[in-house]
Amino acid sequence: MRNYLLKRVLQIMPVLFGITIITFFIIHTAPGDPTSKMMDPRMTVAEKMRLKEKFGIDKPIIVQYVDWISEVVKGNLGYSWKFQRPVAEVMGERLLATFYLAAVSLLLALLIGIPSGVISATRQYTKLDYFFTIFALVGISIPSFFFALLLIKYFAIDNSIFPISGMRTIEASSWPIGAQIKDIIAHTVLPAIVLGLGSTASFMRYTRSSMLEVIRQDYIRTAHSKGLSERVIIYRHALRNALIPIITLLGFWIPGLFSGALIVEQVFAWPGMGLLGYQAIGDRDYPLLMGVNLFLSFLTLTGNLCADLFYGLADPRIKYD
Amino acid sequence: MKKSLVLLLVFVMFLSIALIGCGSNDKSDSTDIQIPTETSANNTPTEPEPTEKDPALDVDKNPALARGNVLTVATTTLDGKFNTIMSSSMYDNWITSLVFDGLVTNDAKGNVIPSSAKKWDISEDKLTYTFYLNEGMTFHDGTPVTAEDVAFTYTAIADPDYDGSRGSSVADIVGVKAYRAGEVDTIEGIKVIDPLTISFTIEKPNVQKIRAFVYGILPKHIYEYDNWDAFKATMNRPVGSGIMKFEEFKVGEYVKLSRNETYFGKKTKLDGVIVKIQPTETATAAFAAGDIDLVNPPPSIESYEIMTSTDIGTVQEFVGNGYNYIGLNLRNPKLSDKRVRQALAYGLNRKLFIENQWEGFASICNTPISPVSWAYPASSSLNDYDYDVAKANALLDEAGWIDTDGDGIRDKDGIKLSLKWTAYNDIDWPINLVSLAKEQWKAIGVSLESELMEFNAVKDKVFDKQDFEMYNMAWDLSIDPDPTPIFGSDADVFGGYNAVGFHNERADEIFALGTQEYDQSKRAKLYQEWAILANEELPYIFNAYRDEIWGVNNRVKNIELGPYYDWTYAVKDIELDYVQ
Repeated sequence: MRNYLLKRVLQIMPVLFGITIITFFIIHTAPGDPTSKMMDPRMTVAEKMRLKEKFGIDKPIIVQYVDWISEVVKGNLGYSWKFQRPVAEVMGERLLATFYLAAVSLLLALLIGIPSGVISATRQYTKLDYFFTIFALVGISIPSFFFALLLIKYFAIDNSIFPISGMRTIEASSWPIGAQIKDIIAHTVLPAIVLGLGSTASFMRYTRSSMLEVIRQDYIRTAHSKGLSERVIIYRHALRNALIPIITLLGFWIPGLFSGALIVEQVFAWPGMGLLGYQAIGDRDYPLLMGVNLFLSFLTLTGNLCADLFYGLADPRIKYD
Repeated sequence: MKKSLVLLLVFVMFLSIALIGCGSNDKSDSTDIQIPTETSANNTPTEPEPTEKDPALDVDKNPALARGNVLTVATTTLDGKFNTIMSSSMYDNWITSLVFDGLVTNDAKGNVIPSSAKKWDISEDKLTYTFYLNEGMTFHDGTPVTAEDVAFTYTAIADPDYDGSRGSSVADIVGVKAYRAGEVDTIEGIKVIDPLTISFTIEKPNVQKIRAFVYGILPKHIYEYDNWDAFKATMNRPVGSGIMKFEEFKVGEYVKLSRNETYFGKKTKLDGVIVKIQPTETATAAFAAGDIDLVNPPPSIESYEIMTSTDIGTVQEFVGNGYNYIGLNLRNPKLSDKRVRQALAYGLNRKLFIENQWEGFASICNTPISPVSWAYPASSSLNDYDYDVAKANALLDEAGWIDTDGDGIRDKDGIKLSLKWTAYNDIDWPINLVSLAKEQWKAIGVSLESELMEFNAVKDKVFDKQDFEMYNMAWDLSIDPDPTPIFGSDADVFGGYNAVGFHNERADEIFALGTQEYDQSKRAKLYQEWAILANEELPYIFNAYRDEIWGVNNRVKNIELGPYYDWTYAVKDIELDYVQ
């Protein structure tokens, strides 16, 4: 097990390295550079050239890549051209907000998605099953910006139950800590629902189909004939086996929550990092874009690794040597 | 006879019902009006009566009143570069213009007026600018503002490592070149004469030079740096001498400022200002709900209607200092004849397009100067290129473009008059304009192809490579109307802004005279001549002047926004209604 883990972690390194090469070269073939955005007629051409030299974009791409990667190896992600501050700092101060929103919505998705999937499967073709199935279909199909604006209209503008946007009330810094926590929770509800809806629906669909397959297996029939209670059969024997595809899904889902928060963070003015990578493309802020890419690739790879490890926990037949 | 009597009765009945209806309406209206006058009459005695019935102070009606004496302004982003020599977005500039004060500033008409400098002299030869600072000014930490701080600010822009966008504004100061090259330790042209006097010497007279002294003064003792990265690390916690003091910045959320009690000029009556991120999608709704006091949405009927839907705010509208246009590559043989360019202008119904696209929040543009500028000529002196297919056809015939092979497209010397338009698809108006042009130009025998790409790609193709036939873009102009950087022959280089390759002897002459003319009315005459010349030559097909709209909550008093006068200028006058 330990060898397996070590091997997998070591494998991540060259893969990450490969990803950086590909993304770096693709990004740098895009036309335009960070001085493109400085469309100020008062800025002379000579001044622009001076800046290009400062940013190092007058050098050949290979040299730029070597400069960049040798700093990254030392743990320095470089300097954002747009924010003119270290990339790690720019990402770091937004990471927590994104992580918090992602965690809440993932939790929501798991807590609602899996049980309703199980219920759907065990009561196939009942009204409850149809209800959940339709809900999942709507949840997967509805565009998140539309759903977000719909929620804002009904719950924030027409009836001011929740705030329109943001992560906290600005005046809240002087409130008692309990009220501040309440304030943040109130601000979290709508974005978490929007971000979690798609995942909830997917988890529900996967759980349902996976459960349907499992409960027709021989060992479930055996359990029934042994006289075990329905509860024990479903939740101890069937669910555990049905969860394996869900775990795979989860491994992919975590990086998706970070990058997929883009729309939700935009509409709700959530101070996270979802928009960073997107805006960095428009601003041609290559160091920041590479930083975000590196972070998301790392999440994807570790997400997969975690999923592989969890298989072992869920399914005793899977063993790692 | 009987019948007509019945009719008459019915008519009288209707009339009386209508009158009763009016009467009751009148009554309710008058009582509505009476309530506030009654309460205000009650309020005149010294005895403090609750003002709950005054609609201007009714929190249930206008929830913004509960937010206290703090002005909340919506923004779409905050980059955290709150530094007068580094900021690169309009929104960061809001913060710097409140926290810092420059040597000079401008009034609502765009004229340069004193700020930290109480006056200035310009030498006979127009090369030396001497500024005299106000006495008794202090930074927010209590340290006096001195000429050393001014020298520090402009020396920092000239730093060899400087990587902001203001570098060009010091390039003409004597000694900057040697300083940037690392040959000397101080800049020869910046002289501190005494703690309150400083002079700048430039290499060549330039009438707009005075506008380079608007950048806010950085306190040397706070911003002094060992290396440039250390300087930039201080950008998100600014300290200046401006009307507002910096309190707090939450990344991705808001900036909080508070009143500077020791401000040397007219102090603000506001306790503070909050600039808060509010996405465009919900900004107008948040304004209507009273969450924000000032908002600047994209101008449209929809924005207008949402903002006024709850009757707690009004909308201020003004023409912006800029225009959008279709650029034509004049090096291209198809476009080098001005008759072809004029034909394209006549053959495109811009009026119709502008009405449909901007719903009344834009007006037609025919010259590269905004009507808000003092350099704008009398409208009657400009050709308005009203949609006229016959005129367009005549011009093309005259220019020798005739459809010889009968395929519907004009040709000349074996070249077809087919054009390619490079448009960006980040926003919708270019795409809409292209499709209209495709249809309407077909009618005058011109075929149009289009390629859509992202803004940066268009910019690269047009300005850096000059590899295009036509493109569209917009200019936000500076207060000074000098067109040299956009239409001067010298700006026709790769990366320069004269991407269309406009070369005109008289225009270059006007531009040269314009930057050496210190009498504004004489200067205006020059630029008016240029405006008429550009209107005739059409280096661009000028499209539209767009309006700016601002939602202003009813509680915000004494605010009059304009193209040269954003809300930060108004902060010194603004008064807010609020309830405790």
